[in-house]
Amino acid sequence: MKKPDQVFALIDCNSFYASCERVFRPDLAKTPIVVLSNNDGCVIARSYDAKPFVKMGAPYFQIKDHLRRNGVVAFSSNYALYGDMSERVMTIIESMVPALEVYKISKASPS
Amino acid sequence: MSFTILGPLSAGGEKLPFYSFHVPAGFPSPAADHIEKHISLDELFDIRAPHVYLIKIEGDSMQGAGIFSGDLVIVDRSVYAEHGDIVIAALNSEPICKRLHKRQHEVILMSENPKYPARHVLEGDELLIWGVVKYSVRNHEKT
Repeated sequence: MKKPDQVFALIDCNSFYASCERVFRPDLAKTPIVVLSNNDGCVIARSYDAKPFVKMGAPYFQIKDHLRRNGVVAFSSNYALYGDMSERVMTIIESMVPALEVYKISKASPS
Repeated sequence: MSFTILGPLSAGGEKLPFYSFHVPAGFPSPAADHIEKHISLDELFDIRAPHVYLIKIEGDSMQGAGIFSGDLVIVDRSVYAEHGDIVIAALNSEPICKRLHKRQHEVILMSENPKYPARHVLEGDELLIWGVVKYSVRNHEKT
């Protein structure tokens, strides 16, 4: 009997840091949000609905007023949170597939 | 009532001997205490599971259920909340911990404290169930 072909999948979490923040802020489920780099330097994540308002990497001091005027909420980054959530996601996927390669905090490739 | 969701857990999971103390009728035997098995609190409460979170509760609306302000609750996000479950939820974006009453089309959030009335969830309300409370942890020290 022919051995079945190996199948690979790619899993990429949407707007990972922003999505992590939203898990604990259900009140912001419909509010555009961005996450800022260390020292609130620049934008490193945007929720889907924040994308029309702000470019990736935009320096926060430049766009601060623009965000406020458009009701976009900014979060300081919380890497401990993202690491914890990433581990939860990968643990769940791992329990469902024979092999998993995690290559970014928000991306993995099960096979 | 509000709550704080606690962050990543540090390494632990030390297994503690689990003693069983049986007092047979008649004279207690010197070998009354014996180790039955080893247990860790992590395993008992499944705290390391990806769908389990620790939350610190503030407020007194669930005292009747034995959940007091400052207690920790262990919340499972992987189960569907059913009638009678104590849930962590957001009602119109306001964080709450209440017992869920769900019958037919009637959804009510019940407190376990006569000071707080039942909160009926109406057409215009938005209720998001975050997770179901499985266990709670209390500090019983005298303060």
